[in-house]
Amino acid sequence: MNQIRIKILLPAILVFLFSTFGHSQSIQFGITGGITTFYKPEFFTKNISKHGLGLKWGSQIGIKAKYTFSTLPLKLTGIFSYVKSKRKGTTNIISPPWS
Amino acid sequence: MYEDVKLETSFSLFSVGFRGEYQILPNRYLPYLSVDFLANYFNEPKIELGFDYVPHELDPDYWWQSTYLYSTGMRFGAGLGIGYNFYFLSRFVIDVHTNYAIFNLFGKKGKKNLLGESSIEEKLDAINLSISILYYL
Repeated sequence: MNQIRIKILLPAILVFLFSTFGHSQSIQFGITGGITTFYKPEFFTKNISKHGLGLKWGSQIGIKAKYTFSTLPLKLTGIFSYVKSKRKGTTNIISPPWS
Repeated sequence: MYEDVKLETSFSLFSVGFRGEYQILPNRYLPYLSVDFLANYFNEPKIELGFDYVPHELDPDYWWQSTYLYSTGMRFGAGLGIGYNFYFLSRFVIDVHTNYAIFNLFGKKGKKNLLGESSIEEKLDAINLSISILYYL
């Protein structure tokens, strides 16, 4: 029974995919950039003065390519991005005993 | 007893994402919904001290030494979002997109602090806002 299903379904899926890819509407590519706001974990986002890393947000930059299907309301996108977060701050420490 | 010291912290990650964008209604003027699958390479967070630190056996444990950091390596994540395309000059699109993403849903590694102690990695989540300029081929 399963073999019959596969024999019917597999060609149907292949026909569907070929017809969809065969009538592709467009390919888009370009650059992307933006901001990333980190929410968790707490030690990561807390201010340096409050004994955290202070990394609340970072900047992102990348490249993107998008494939649009004409027969489906669907787009497939591939993204390669780099996110960087950096902070400077002051914090209170217990002085070493000899200082 | 107490003194202020300067610290500089940093963290970076490389992300390769595969996104499906679904137009709810077949109308180019409406926003789309998106689902992301992400492969993320974490670089270990760095803590740089603004002073020359020479370890001494009588040192107290400073708070940043006991802070658990993400170790370098690959994690897998996912995201959900919404976006909108602005078409202009017939060949260009501005794609404004925002999503909620968890960067380390799978593949969590052990975290270590500067004292060498280990702990279980917590999830790293964020809201991303991005603007892309795309060109039609």
